[in-house]
Amino acid sequence: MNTTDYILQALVKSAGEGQLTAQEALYRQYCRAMYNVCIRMCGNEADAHDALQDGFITAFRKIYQLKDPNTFGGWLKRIIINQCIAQGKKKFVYTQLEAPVIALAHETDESWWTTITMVQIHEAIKQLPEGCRQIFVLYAVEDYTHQEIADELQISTGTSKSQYSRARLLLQQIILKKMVANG
Amino acid sequence: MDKLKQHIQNNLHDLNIDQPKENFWDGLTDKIIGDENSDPFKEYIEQYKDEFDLEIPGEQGWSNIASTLSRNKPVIPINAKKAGWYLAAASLVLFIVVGALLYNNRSSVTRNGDDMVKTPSKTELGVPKPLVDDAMKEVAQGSSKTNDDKEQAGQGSKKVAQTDMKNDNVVTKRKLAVQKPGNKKLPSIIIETQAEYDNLIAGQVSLIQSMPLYGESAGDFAGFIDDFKRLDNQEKQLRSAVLQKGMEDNTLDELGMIYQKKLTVLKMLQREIQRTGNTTISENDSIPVFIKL
Repeated sequence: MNTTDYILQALVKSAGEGQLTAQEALYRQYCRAMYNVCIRMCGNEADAHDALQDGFITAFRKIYQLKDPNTFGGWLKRIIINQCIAQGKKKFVYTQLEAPVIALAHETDESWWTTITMVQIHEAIKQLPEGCRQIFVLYAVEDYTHQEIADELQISTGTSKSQYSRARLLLQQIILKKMVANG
Repeated sequence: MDKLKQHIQNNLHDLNIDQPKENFWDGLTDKIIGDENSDPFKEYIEQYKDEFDLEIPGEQGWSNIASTLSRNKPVIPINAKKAGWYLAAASLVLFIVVGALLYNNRSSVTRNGDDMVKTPSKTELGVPKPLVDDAMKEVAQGSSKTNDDKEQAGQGSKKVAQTDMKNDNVVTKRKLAVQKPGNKKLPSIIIETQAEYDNLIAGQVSLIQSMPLYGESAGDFAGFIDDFKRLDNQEKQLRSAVLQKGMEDNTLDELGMIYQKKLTVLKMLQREIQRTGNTTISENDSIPVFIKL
């Protein structure tokens, strides 16, 4: 175990005992990464801040349940993602798309994303519609399987796959539109 | 046409008896979309994932989280396996502390002229390293850190430290210094008495702060904490009165009484923590909460 692991273990232990300084240290260490997860999942700053806040509060209240302090980052991310999903469920319902949309995804150029920056992809993700955005982020960015997404969102794997394909298509359209507008 | 064939053609609908298995469509979509494992776009995103963290949360974020957390402390269930060890350790420490206090806490009364001095003997408490909280540290040590009497407190502590800590001999009485009203310095006897009791009280506070709380929150013991703070205020008022008007005949008795009451409150709090812990053990695995006075 290296020094970083020891420090993390000590911080997690102290945070579990209710020490606010340790909790703040953990917040400062993880807030940027978690906030970006929130803003990709939620699509706007206000909802992202709410999800971030509620996620951290839940995490610090349940931190005593964490057996291995070294897994704090992954454990925290699951809590944050669950918070974002819970927020999303209040706003929209997932629907299975029809087959022609799925087929359309395969007609596009498969290498278009290599010509654009991650900043452009990040900004375009935020502009995706609510439902397919979350599924796209969970699958492509957070590396969930379609089965895991289906279990979390209480949808079928077919819906997850079709929404993901739709998201990819829309993402390409959004980026290309912006590139054309910017000349 | 063959009659059998004609019959079949006339009843084709009834021939479709079997159905494909459920979720067949899900498997089919893999072939339409492509294998889940070969998604070059997803692989590209994963490769450059770190470049995605572009946004920075607002500064208000931590303030809101901290205020919510401090408002609602969680009630944490206890671990039955660990609870036994904690209770045994707490009982042992309590036994040692109470035994040491009872053995050493004898007062000595001596007379010199018209003066009567009662001071407790010192005792050495083997307490665990405290979980220091700034607010309680200030309360336990009183407000002796004012600019006026800091120097005298230092001198008083030095005198206290020179006496024999391991004997059960009491501090011998000293002739009371006659303080004229308006003199801004506390008498040395007040400072020495305060220093001795501060050691005892700080030891008790450290012990309580090291005792694990099971199934309860710190707010459940607010009554004891309020009593302690009230006594602390009384002590400060008494010292202030001495600074303003000088020592009176019963000043030392009153001061000693306040300190004894403080110790009593702390001992009652300690007993209440132990009593509550004995009745709220559950089987859930958790880390205990520690009281911060």
